[in-house]
Amino acid sequence: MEPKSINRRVLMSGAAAVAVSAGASPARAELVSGSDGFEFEITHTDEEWRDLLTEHEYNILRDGGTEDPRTSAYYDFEEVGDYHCKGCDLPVYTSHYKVNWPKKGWVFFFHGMPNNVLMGVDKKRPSAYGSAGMAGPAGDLIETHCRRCGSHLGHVLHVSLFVIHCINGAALNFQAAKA
Amino acid sequence: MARDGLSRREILAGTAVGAIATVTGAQAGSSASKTSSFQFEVTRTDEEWRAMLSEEEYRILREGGTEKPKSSPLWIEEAEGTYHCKGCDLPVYTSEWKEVLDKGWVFFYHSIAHSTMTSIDGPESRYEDGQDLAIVSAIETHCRRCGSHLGHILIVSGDGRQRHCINGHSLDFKPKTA
Repeated sequence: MEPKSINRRVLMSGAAAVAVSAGASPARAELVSGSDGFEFEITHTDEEWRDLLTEHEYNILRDGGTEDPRTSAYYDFEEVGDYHCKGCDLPVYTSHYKVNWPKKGWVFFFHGMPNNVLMGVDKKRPSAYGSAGMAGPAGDLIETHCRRCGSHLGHVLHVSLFVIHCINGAALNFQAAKA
Repeated sequence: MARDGLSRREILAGTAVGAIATVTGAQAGSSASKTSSFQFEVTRTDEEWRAMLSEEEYRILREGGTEKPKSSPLWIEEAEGTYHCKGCDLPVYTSEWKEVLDKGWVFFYHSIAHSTMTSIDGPESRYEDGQDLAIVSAIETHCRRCGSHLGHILIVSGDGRQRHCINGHSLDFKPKTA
């Protein structure tokens, strides 16, 4: 696997931020090391993650990949309930803040569940996004991941006049609200 | 103010997420309550927060307030260094991603990875040239470690780029040492 993927997995482990910066840009090393030894509450070995997830899910949750539009079960889905992180079952989004844009084909939420979504920096811009979500001089995107297990969920993008969470449906498990 | 202020403080405490739903929408209630066990790593009593923060800092960090533009000297700070949460000293932003905009808050394209969380800010917050927050509440951002409110993620200029629009009073700047 090429270095970029390795870096991304290290990033998600939350345990070796220095190593990330060493790969991404040496100048950032000392800044990022301020991340204070933060560790996610739920961690698994790479083997465990591969057992838990399909290859497609692993590519998204653990390697920060992006699904092709209109490939998940949820991009055009309107049931009332919660969307849980597929990596650890933490509720991370809710139908209350969901907006359906079937032509775009990802899963959009105005908000994440408070305190459940952390942000990172994604230097690998998904080609499928086109010009949406320009986030900096280098076009790096604001990335979002699960607070509890660090699994990649999607990005915060500027889409159709909104700043909105653009999420991979394959990173989520929907659980219908109880009547 | 009283009701919002209270709820917002509860948001920040990370202990009563269910209360948010009464402000922002009933549907979120059942789901949000599942997360109510979450505790920030750094917690303090209200008295402790008031003792360590100025009144303006308390209003921003603990009540989700927004400073007046250009009221913090950090808005024009251009030196290299790291910006730490004033509530717990966690490094949350760096000069690498900072940009000075005449709007007068402290703007960053990114936060340091794993250091900031998103939440929901109610429609009572206003920015001079901001979006219509009465229709769509803003994505709020706060410190992962102590829950202190930092600012929002917004489109703030005509270039269409989203930025972290941060209160300078919520940050301590530490210049890079040679």
